[in-house]
Amino acid sequence: MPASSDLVPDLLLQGCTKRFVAPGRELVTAVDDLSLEVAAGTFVSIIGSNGAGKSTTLAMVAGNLLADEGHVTVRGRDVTTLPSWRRIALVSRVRQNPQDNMVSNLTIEENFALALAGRRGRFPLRRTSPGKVRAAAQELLEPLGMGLENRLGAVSGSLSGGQRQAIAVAMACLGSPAVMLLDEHVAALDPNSAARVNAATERLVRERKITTLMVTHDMKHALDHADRLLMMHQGRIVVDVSGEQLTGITPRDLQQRFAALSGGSLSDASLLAESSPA
Amino acid sequence: MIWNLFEIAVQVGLLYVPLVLGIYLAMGVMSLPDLTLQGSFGVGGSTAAVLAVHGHHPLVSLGLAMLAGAATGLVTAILHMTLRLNVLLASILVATAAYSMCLVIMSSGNVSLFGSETAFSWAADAGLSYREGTIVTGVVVAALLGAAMLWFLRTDYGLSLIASGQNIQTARGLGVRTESRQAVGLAVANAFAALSGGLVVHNQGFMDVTIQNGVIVIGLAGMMLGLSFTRSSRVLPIVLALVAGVVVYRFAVAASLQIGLDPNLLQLLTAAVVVVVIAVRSQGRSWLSSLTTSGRRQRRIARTRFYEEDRVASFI
Repeated sequence: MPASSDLVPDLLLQGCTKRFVAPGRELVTAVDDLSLEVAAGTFVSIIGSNGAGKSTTLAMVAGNLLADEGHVTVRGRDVTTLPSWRRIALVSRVRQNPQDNMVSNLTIEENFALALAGRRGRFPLRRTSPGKVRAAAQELLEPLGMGLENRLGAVSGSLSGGQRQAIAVAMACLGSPAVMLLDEHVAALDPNSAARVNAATERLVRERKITTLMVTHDMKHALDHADRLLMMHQGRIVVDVSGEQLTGITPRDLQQRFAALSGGSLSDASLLAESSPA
Repeated sequence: MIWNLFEIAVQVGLLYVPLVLGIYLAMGVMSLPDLTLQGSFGVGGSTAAVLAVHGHHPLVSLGLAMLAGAATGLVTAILHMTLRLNVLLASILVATAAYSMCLVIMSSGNVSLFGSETAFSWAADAGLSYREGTIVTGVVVAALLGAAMLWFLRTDYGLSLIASGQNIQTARGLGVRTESRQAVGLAVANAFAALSGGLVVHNQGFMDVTIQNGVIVIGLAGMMLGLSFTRSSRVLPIVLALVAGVVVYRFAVAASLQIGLDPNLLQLLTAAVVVVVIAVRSQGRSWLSSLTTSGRRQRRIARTRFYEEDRVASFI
């Protein structure tokens, strides 16, 4: 699964560790000496129980958290100690809560203007020409098929969670970053919206060949759509399968592995999900 | 008589427009509870007074007053960014220190501008009454600042400021260096407050160090009244509403004094205005609905939810 050695991997984590001081003053290791190499254009799904270190890993790549030890390299550039706002030309992140992905009292167009300015790394004392912003927004919103390209003047706080998450993914695609991080970005949505946002997401990142790390709890989606699947447990990667290996695995295998690791049995929800039609 | 009161309200109110815009920028746009504005009002007033007495052009004295205010705001921002002091705490400290700074700038507790050229002296040369001159100057300043604010908040930089005030993580995710936006926001807001102080001092012809006492509540009253005139979150209606709010507040003050309110109660009245406006805005509908049983039940639920979600944040 590692990239062919003549190419620079889009994402390289080397011995990354992140510890937190829990309220009881004890040290908790959220991510433990994690190393990972992701080849350009790969769609990676990450699954794991709560507290497995998935979000912490993404946060270290995005720069919202800085690694205590180890190195984060994106497309050959060491970004380990860069603050998040300086990484956005390389890394973009979509969060679980729709309110965290767009500025809710600005319009869709203004949000795109901000995102464009951010990618350029300059926020000048003038307005980016509306034509340019609209063109960029329309190009990304049209393929979503939600009609959002005609509602650029809508204040984003008035949109539904699904619409906002879809726009957030579109905004994150601006300027084709090296790595896109999706942190359970459909978890707060109802199943219909989730499916639509998932489909839109995949179309956008596949078209642009953006390397993507997606944290999800939907094992079936992870198996069906990802090029590579990671399972995390207690801050480490315990399963790493890709390519043809993926086709031989059923959601049940994963569930069992998962249950064995977390010392529990299969949840009713996952058993139900498994028996539902594909 | 009403017209006379209205004229007084416009005359005095417009001088406070910069302060209200500053408070809105700091508290409304940046979500920073900045009490430095009170100190900057005084610092701006003393700077403008001293420079006018020394014969500088009003534009120079008001411009430097704004710079002094911006510097005061930056001190708060630096305390917040380097020592990670809570903004509220830092601003209380800086506002307290600013009181002494005013005394240092003036080398006394008060300064008379009698015979000096002020931002309102031109009225006499132009054959206007002092009141007319004040209103014209006030309108020009309010229009300029309002337009500047509109333009600023619509630029890419201004949008990044709005984003920083709404959600730091979102803003940083869009590539905004939020700490610098907070510093700039505080500097501009305090420059506005200082301009207000300078205008008031020039207008009343003397500066006394105590003019800054309670001025933040005057600005808050104007802001809250103004915000109650619009439900929009867009900049243009808000700026217009803020200007209207401060004039209405001044009208209420003038009317209260006219009908014989003890001037000693003025601060109490101002605080009451803020409380009443906030109460009506947040509770008005639910008070009305509490006439019915289900309405009362909803109110109880809402209150319990508020207590459940109440947050405390350590200051130190």
